Order: sequence, then C-alpha cells, then structure tokens
Amino acid sequence: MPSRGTATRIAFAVVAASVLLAGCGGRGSTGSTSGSGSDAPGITGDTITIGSSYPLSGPLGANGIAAKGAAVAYFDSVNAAGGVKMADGKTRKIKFVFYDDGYDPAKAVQNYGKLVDSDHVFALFQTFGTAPNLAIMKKANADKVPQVFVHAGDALFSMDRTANPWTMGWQPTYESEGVAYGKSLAAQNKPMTVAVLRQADTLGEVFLKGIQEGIAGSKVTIAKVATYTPKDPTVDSQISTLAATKADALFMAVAIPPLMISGINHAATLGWKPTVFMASMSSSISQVVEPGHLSSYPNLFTASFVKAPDDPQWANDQAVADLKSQMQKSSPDANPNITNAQWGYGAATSLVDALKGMKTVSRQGLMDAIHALKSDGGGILLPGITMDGSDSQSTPLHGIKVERFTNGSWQIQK
Amino acid sequence: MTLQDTAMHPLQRAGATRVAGFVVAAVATVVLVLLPLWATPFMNLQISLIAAYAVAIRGLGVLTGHAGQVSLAQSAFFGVGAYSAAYAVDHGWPAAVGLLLAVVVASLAGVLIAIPAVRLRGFAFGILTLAVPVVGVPLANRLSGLTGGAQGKTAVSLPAPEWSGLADDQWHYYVVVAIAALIFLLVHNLLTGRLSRALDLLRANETVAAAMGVPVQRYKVMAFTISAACGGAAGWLYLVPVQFISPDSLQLTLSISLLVALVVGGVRSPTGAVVGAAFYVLLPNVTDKITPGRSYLFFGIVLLIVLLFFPQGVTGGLRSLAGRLSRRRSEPTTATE
Repeated sequence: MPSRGTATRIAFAVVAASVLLAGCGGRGSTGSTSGSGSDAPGITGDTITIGSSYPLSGPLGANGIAAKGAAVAYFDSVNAAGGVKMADGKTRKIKFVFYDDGYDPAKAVQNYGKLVDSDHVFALFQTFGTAPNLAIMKKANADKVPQVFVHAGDALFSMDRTANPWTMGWQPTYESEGVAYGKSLAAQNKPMTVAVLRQADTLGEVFLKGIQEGIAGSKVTIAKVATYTPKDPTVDSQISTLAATKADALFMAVAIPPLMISGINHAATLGWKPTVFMASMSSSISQVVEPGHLSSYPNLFTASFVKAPDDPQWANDQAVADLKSQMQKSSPDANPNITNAQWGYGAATSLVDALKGMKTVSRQGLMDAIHALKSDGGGILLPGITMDGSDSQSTPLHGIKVERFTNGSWQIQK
Repeated sequence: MTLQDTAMHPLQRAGATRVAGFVVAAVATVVLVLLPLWATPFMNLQISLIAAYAVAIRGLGVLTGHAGQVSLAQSAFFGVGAYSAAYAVDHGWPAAVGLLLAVVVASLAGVLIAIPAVRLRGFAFGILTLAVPVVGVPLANRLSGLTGGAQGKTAVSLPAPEWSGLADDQWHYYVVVAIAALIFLLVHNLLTGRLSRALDLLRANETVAAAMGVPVQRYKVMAFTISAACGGAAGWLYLVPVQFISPDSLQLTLSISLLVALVVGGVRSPTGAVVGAAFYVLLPNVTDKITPGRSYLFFGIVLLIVLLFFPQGVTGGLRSLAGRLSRRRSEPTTATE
C-alpha cells in the first residue's frame, strides 16, 4: 500500500481528518460515563435535553414519524407555555434530539452513542421498537442513562428493576391485552375455540401467553396457532390453515396493518367469519378498518387505552382536540390517527409529569419521580386507565379496555 | 523544457515517493494507535464499524472489482459471520474460536453457493446472488433456535482485560482495527501472481480467458470464497463493538450499500474499501443533522456524482488528479506512475 503513492497519501489524510472531525470532543467530557455523582448531564439553567431513536425511514417509517411527531408537538406546546417548572425552582425548556435508525438495532446502538457522547442528553425517551430497545438496554444500564417510556409493549423492559433499573416501559403490555381478550371470551361461559395468528417473535409470544392466561380454567380452548414474520408479504396461507379449524374466534395478533387487512379479508373469502380480535396497534378506524372494508364484519373487537382521534365518539374531547391541533402545528407530516402517535403523545405527557415531579434534578431523580407517578388517567387516556409507576414488575399504565366496533366507532365493552 | 531542466532524475523521484509513502503510513499508524485514548466511545465505535465494513467491502472487491462478478450476496455472508460469532459467545468459546467459526462457516456457505452460481454469467449470476439475502433474512427470522429469530441476539464479548487499563470501547477498537489490518494484508498477499492475473483476465473477457486455458470456474469459486470469508470475518468484527445482531441489520439494502461503497471508494483499491466504509458509516451522521432518515437518498446522489465524474471511484479520481499534477511538473513524455 505505501508504494501506491499520492492517492494513498491523500486518501489516508482525508479519512483520518474526517474521522477526527466527525467525532469532535474528547474523552471524559460530561456524560460519556456517568455515575450517581455526575448529577446532571443534559441540563443547563434553562434547557433539558432529551434524546430518542426512531425508525423514520423504511417499513415502519410512518409509525416512527407519528410517534416522534406527537412527542415533538406536545413538547412544543409545553415550551410555548414557558417550559417545565422543576424542583430547583428553574423553569426549563425541552430540547428534543432524535435520529433515524430505520428499525435497525445496530443503528439504534450507534444513535445511542451519538446521543450520550455527542449530544449529552439527560435521558432517552420513547426509543422505538422491541429489538432496538433490547440492543440499547444493556449499554444504557451500564452507563446509568435513563431509558424511559420505551415505545414497545414487551414486559421485559419493566419487569426486572434489579437488572435494568434505568429502563422503563409505559404502555400496558401486549400480554395484558391478550389476557383481556381471553377473559372476554371466557366470560361468555360456553365451549368455544379460538385460532391465533401471531408474529414469530417475542411480541407474538407474549400476545399468545396473554390469551392463554385469560382463558385458563374456562370452556374456551385454543384450536390452532399460526405464525408470520413482519416482512411477509401475505398471511393468506396461515389464514387458510386456521380457517380449516372452523374456530369460533380468531385472534389476529398482527402488528402490521396491511397484513391485518389482507388476513381478515382472506378469511371472509374462505367463508369463515369468526369473532375477530384485532391487536391494538393495527386496529385504527381510519388506517385499517375503513381502508380494509372491515366495517361490515359482524364481530370486530380490539383493545385500547387511549382515545383515537379518528373515532367519532371523541370528536368533542378536549385532549383529542389538543393532540390534533398541536400535531397539525408542529408535525404536519405526522399522522395523528396512527396508534403510535396517540401512545407517543400520552408518553410525552407522562415524561413532563415526571420532570415536574423530580425531587432532585438528576438522572436518579428522574427514575424516582417515575416510580412515584400515580394518576387516574385523564387526558388522552381512556376513562378507567390508571398510572402507577411503583409496581416493580409492570409497566406504569394499568388496565386496557376491550372495545367492539359498533356504528363506526370502537365502543368500550363493560 | 529539456531533460536537464527537471529537478530530479525519474528514478530519484520514484525513490522519494516511496520514502514519503512510508512516512505517511507511519504517521497514519501512530494516529490510529493513539486515537482511541483520546476519542469518545462513540468515535471508537464508528471507527471500529468502518474497519469491519472495510473488510466486507474489500472482500466484495475481490469478487466484483477483481473478478468482475457483481454480487449482492455479501450481506448474507456478513450475517452468517455475525451469527456464528454470536453462537460462539453464547457457548462461552474464546473470541478467536468465534472468529475462526465465522470465517469457516461463511467460506463454506460461499463455496456451496459459488459452485452452482459460477455456471452463470453476468446478469444471471447477479440475480442468483440477490436471492441469497432475500432467502437468508426470512430464514434467520424463522430459525429462532439458532438465531434468536426476529428479536436478534445480544452477544457481549471481549471485555477489556485488567492489565490494559483500557475501557471496553478502546479495547474493541484495537482488536477490530488490528484484525482488519491483518485481513487486508492477507488479501494483499493472496492477490499476487497467478491469481491476480487470472482474475484480471477473467474480468476483461471470460471467453478469451477460457480460451487461453484459464480454469475460469475454479477461479470464480476461489474469488467467491475469499469474498465470503471476508464477509464472515467482517460480521465477527461488527459484533465486537455493536454486541447485537438481528435480521433487521442484514437486509438486502446492506448488500446494495456495500456495493455502492465499493464503487464510491474504488473497486480494486484497498484504500478505496476503507474510504467506502467511511462513507457508509459517516455520511448518515452528517445528513441526519440536515434531514433525518434520508441517508439513502444521499448515498444515491454521491453514487451518481462518482459514476459521472470519477468512475474509478474516489481513489481512482485522486490518483488521476495526482497524476495530472505530477505530470505538469515533468516533461510531457515521462509518466510518473
């Protein structure tokens, strides 16, 4: 290589220079490794810096943009009203820094490095997706960086406070959603069979575990379970297999809206119209039910814990109106009707509540404030949903409501 | 201008160039050795990634740049290497065993795919290599016992040893950069003499090469295997700092990006492989600050610019630039390269 002359020389120099420039900043600057002593990286007299990583491109791009857009909108509205008043008497504005990871866990890890080492964020908020969060979790806990209100429904982010004290979920787990569906079937107290189509990963496993728990000891049994992967173009063959069981109910634990639509329609073409339970992240009226022409389906159920802006029953709700107007103003490219936007908005309100509730302005103080969060829902949360951050084995939000599609709206079932 | 007017005799000039080259290489080495002691963990992560991808790109260069066979399968070998490495970590095997496993398994996969593939030419060969990651990713998703499925696998290995006094990210940097440099040296030594000339002939015109008695299929398989072995090693190198692998990291877009990086850097140049890898890793840092999520758009734009103005890649472009500058200093008939 040395004998290749000038080109090599210049290339070496360019690469070395660009690498040096790309990083900037040296080792040991605030926040690169933190212990309880380095009280507040990411905090100045008037700003607090929060970071995140979302899929802003690729197949989940719209979902990432929706969640990010909702958070940005809420933070903008809080900043416009002056900021967050904190325990030390200072009022701070939120600076929200985020990067795209395309749902690639390796990119999420790199974004983590950027956020912590270059941007010196105070905490990670609403990092998106189970696999990216799993990739980040080890590093975040080793570095003692809060990884809060992760945008994923897997219980393991909140289950083990000893192993992962700096990580915390927000929304009710997918397992609890499965339990709710199972219980609603069991409550009918007659022999029934249910077929399940689930994602071939932990997300799907926990949905299945949930419904098994919900029907335990009842007259309901699982007829068959089929699996799909998120990149599958169709689930027709899985639906055909399940249709052969002629089960009374079908649990579509499907996180991908186009697959939800095509799967349910395929069941109809096979002449099979069971009671369908739609996973909460793919049951939006405007994104799934209407485009999929599912409104004529006899028995459609889902579960939810937030108010959907595209549901006519919330047309006059103040929180929903605020969400819509704030997102229109701050994030016009984000779609408020995508469920991730509603979850993102709700989590943003919880973060601001936690920031207000910090007794000391430090990373540990934030975790303590989150564990102390208690409320009876309100805002974008459905009536009856409660928040309790002290439960050491669960996500802060408790309760999820089974809803039935009736007259163009998801009606909460008692 | 006469010969007597030039400052240096051409032979002296060549000698001076070589000395200057060694000096620059020495300086670069010193910089690389001292850098992680000063750089942030994020910078060390980035450089380790550049080293890992450079190995993958150099491997691809052997097949696509030297042998002239465009391949889209490199992400699959990268994945095989990374999963083999994760497997070794799971079973508590030493890191060196993991590296060996990654290289061996990827090479075997390479040979298996190469044997049918080399019967095809050009476009058809390319399509077959396209099928490898397209089939491989769903396979990785389904074989969850082996791969952890769509969730992926965490694989924490190579903690910094006590005696070094280094942080993990610094140790990973040294391990990855040193092994990458060794692999580059190995490839350099492989590509000498008969193999290199055969691949050049093969690239220029397969029919003529066969007519000249070059065992075309055998050399294609060889190039494919070297390429796959590099891909596998790159997967191991990648796992060291990132410590996580999942099918999401192995999409077809990675193969395409590696090809783009290869072309941008220079298809037959080892330096080009490093430049391409730096481009792939660092460009999103810059463009994400301007408009997040659009890095692929910028990859495309840079590729277009390179293809239009420097078809030999950045290193080729620099070389002709350097050549033109040197030529202006000497008489018209003396070439300086």
